Amino acid sequence: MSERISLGELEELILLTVGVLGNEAYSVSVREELEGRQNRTISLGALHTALYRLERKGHLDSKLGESTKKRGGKPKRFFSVTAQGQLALQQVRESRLSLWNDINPAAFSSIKVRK
Amino acid sequence: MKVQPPKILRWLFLLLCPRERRAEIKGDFNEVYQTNFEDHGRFKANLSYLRNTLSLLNFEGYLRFVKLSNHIIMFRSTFKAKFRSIVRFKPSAIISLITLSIGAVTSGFLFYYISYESSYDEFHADSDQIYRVNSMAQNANGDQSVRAFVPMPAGPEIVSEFDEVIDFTRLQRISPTISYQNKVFEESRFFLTDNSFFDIFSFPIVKGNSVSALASPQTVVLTESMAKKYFGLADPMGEVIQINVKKSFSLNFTSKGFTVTGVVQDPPKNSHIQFDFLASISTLGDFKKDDWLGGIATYIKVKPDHNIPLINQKFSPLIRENLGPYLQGRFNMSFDDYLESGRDVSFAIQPITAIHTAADLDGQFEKGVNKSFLRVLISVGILIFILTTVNFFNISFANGLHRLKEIGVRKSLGAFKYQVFSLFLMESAVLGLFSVLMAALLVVITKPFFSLLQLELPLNFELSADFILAVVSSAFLICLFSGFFIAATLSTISPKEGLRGNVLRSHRGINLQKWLLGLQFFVAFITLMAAAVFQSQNDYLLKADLGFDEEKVLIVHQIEKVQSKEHQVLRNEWANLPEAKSISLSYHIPGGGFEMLEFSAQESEPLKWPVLVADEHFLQTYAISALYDGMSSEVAQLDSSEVLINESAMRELGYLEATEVLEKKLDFYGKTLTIKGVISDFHYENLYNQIAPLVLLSPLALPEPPLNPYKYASIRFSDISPEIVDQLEQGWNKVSPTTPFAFSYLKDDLSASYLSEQRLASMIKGATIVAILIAILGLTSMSQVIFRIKVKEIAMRKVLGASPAKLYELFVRQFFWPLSIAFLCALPLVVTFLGEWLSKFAYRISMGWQLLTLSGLGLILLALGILTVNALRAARQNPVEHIKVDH
Repeated sequence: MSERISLGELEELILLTVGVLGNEAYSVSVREELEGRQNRTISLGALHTALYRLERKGHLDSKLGESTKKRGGKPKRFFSVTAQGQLALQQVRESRLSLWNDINPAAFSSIKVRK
Repeated sequence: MKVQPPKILRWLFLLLCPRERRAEIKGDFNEVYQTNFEDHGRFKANLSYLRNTLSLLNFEGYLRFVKLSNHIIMFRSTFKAKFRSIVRFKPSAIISLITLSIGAVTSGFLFYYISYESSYDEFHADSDQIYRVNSMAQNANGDQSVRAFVPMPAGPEIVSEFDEVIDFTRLQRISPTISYQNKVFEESRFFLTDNSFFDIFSFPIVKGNSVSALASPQTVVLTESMAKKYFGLADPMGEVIQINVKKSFSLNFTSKGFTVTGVVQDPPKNSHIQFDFLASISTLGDFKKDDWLGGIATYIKVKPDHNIPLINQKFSPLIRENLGPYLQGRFNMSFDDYLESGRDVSFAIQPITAIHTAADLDGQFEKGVNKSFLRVLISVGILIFILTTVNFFNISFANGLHRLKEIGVRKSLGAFKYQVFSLFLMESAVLGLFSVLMAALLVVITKPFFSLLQLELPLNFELSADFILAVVSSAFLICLFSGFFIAATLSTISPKEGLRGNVLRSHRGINLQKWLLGLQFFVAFITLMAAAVFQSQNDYLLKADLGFDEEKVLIVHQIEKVQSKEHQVLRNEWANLPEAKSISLSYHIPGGGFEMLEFSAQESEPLKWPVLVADEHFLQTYAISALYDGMSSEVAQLDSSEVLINESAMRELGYLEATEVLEKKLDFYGKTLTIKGVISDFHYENLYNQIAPLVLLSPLALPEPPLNPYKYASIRFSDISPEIVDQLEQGWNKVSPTTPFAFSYLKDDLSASYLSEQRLASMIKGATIVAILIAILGLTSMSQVIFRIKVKEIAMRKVLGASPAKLYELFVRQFFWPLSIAFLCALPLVVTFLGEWLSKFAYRISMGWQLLTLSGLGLILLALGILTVNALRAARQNPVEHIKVDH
């Protein structure tokens, strides 16, 4: 395995949401999705900062799309998860899973741990 | 895109948004804004836009900076400490906050008001090129008058002769009755003007063509509010309104239809030309076209690089060239003979922006603001500003003395002078921030007070950005100045002095403070004495003997709406009331306007005198006495060739005794009138001016007896009650059921003419309250400082057997010199300053020493009272507590 890629919690969520949205992932839809699914409100500016940072790191790729009247004629920027981003998500998921798999049921008595 | 966030938010966005990705980010922001706007409304949309914009900042980096920066940490702790001391209701902080806000609101309001009054007519696009041509006329007696008008042909002549002048427009005001279909109104803001009106002035036209709206005869342009009044929602363009005017010498028609050719925005309040209707002057045709003795308000527009003295010099030859032939033609008199007889006329131009603040001229459309009024307000504004600054300094300094040890500790731990300096500066900045908030709150609370002053300000002035800006910036300036001085004083204290807490060492500061307190009292003395003088002059104006009895007289208006043949019916109807003592119908009433008409006695030149047209009961109703025994003031029946004159007119004719002037003749527009009697002088105008000549006529004596000879009915009562007004109205309704009954009390009408004086007095009174409040608060804090400093001394003296009286003296002595010198300096200032103001009244109070010293003494007593309270506290203290404790 290549070197570990660090991913923050918000970054992880954003990457996953971009994946969920597929071709329709741009800042406003990502924000709505995050709000709807995770019940997590994030301000637009902060989301932009995060999206661009992920792009700079190489986890996201982007291309300019169409514009609408509502946007005052300004284009949308659509994002997609790059191979590197997918790898990073994969890593995070695996490390989590391996931890979950080895949970001692006695320590986690209040929830039912699926084996 | 339908909706957009406010400009300031968009600006903030541009500031914070990274440049390279601006387009798409802006698109995202717009989309979210639209959605929010549709779902939650404008406010929430704006709020979320602001939050989103702010989040564009890279917060992580910023927070790291904040956490690590020493300056920010220091500011946060200062802010917190000050904030807590305010919310914990620390009296001293609250007091300085309150005085600061009151001072800021007062001075901010005054500065705003002054800038408003000086902004008159500046809205014209070329206001620096627009001038009014005034004329200075001198009659054969050597009396001079400055008039806001020039002869009718002067305007065209000036434009054709002077290269510097581009264009002119003339304005003649008339008061017609206007009817359209079934709507009939009396209008007074009706002007005849040239087509060039809209070229010279910048009154935006809403409908119609500004180039040619007033080109043809019998066309009229109305304001938007008049369009609504006469036509409602219908389109006024092309409609014809009927104009009816009284027969007069200045017009050649009495009834004409005018076609509406345009609608113009209502003139702004800060325009000295206040119009509702503008009609084409070409309606008059050739009337008075060559009359070089008449007058009409004339405005000219000059070229941008104009030379005023040069233009003024050119007027004299112009007058000679034109007035000369005119005199020759009409009176067979050469121009040199005209000058020989002592008469003279000259023109001068006045910038349009200066008209409102300059002295009122004869025939000016709207009364301007009194210059000394503005000067008083400016000085009061500055004084309050200084007062507040000084007070804020004093209170904060007193509080700073508490913290000498803190300063000492800080300094010995290695704080530099500038660090202590910035600490105190920052503390005042925090206080300033709160005072700005409080000042804004005060503005809202005191809104009714400002409207009480009846200032002619734009209606929404309370919320106007300029006003709030003025208040906020004065609050900030006050903080800045005083904060700077406090910081400068306290940061110089050496660590040794500070740690010992030896405040006596900082004696210099205390002395300075004492004299600053003197300055505060100086201001308080000035405003208090000024308020006393203004108030007593006002009372004098309202209570002065006017030469007639203004009590219990009720004026019924709109008598002209009643047909002449019904007048007797109306009179009988009212005369039946037991309380009605006397009823007089007249065209003019005291305090109203008067027309100047020309009279000439034998072998003298024309005299322009005001006339009062009234019936035979006028003298009785107004209780005006007659000077000549043979005349009964009960009934002064005059026929078409008889007049009464007042004493001043008699003197101007050159007679000293009423008996001498009787039966003398006056020529009056081709008629000969006989003087039937002399009435005593009464103040038919106001108390600004000396009583001028007056001629009392019956309507029959007028050159052309008008259809409606009377406008007012004056009724004297033995007693006025609301039931009487009802009964009068019933009588009125029997005769004229269609016209509403309109009445007023003579006394109210008369006092309304001193509105600007009352306004000034109420402003000064308000300022006085603020000044005294601030001075008293300053005195309180100062005496506490002295008490703190002297506490040990007092305790020791007490132990050694000093009497309470001695201690009291020790305490009060501190304040003796600052207060007395403040009083002695204020006195001559008030006397000269207010003497000038009073001198514009022909009838005025004498500024006696009692008035000034009494008001001064009042304030001194108040100050002594406050000192006594503090002194008693000092004298009654338990010496043991203070001797053994080292402060």
